[in-house]
Amino acid sequence: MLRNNLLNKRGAIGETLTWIPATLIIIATMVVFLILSGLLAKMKIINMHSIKNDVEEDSPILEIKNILAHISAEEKNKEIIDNILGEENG
Amino acid sequence: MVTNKIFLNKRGGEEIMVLYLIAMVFVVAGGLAGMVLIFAGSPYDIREIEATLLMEKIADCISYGGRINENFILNGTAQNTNLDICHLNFEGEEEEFFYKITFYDIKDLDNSFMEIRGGNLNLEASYSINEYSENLPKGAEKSFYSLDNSDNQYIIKILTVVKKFEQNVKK
Repeated sequence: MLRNNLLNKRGAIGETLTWIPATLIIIATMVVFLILSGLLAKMKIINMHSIKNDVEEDSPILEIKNILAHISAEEKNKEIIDNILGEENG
Repeated sequence: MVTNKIFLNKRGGEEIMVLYLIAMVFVVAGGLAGMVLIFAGSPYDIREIEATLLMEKIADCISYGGRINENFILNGTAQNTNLDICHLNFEGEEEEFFYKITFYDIKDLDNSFMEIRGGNLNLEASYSINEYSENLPKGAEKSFYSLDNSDNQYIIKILTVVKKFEQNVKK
């Protein structure tokens, strides 16, 4: 009887085998999430497009200046200038 | 009696389980704290916006209402070659910025009519535009069109570069 009790470890071993993978899964999940948060932290970039989604131009102020200058010059050389600015500003 | 005390008493095992659970709670809590610290500890990179805003401020100073400020070009003649009249306030961080304004007469686009530079001139050598690189200063470059008081036409190209690694990039 006493011998049987000493040798019967199946319950204890089974429990341990359940907890080891559980621990490993928890630690692996933590590591994955830590790496993901590090990658997300690197993406904390704010540019003009992210704050002005509705604005097509990068800099509408410069676009307004161009329009006003064209009006002042009575649209003299407008096509040439627009082509140059298109090439310059992409 | 002896058998009961030694082999059936599971209190030790329960204590180990409690310790294990506490350890796991610390692991999970530590992981969550680490995630928050990593994310919150990383600064927002706003250099592109800063460069664009500086460019717009300079553009506003140089040209208003489609006309070039007479302090820069008057009757087709170059006047000022600095931005002192713009009262730009870099709050003692001039070394973190660079700006270059190039004026091109529309009749001669190959040669610049006038050039104004300021700030940390070393930043002109390496910067990135429209591409993200942590190790390079961020730049903004745009051209616009304006007239002087004699209706001479100019294309004005503005380049601004912002370094400021410390405030925008995690070391």
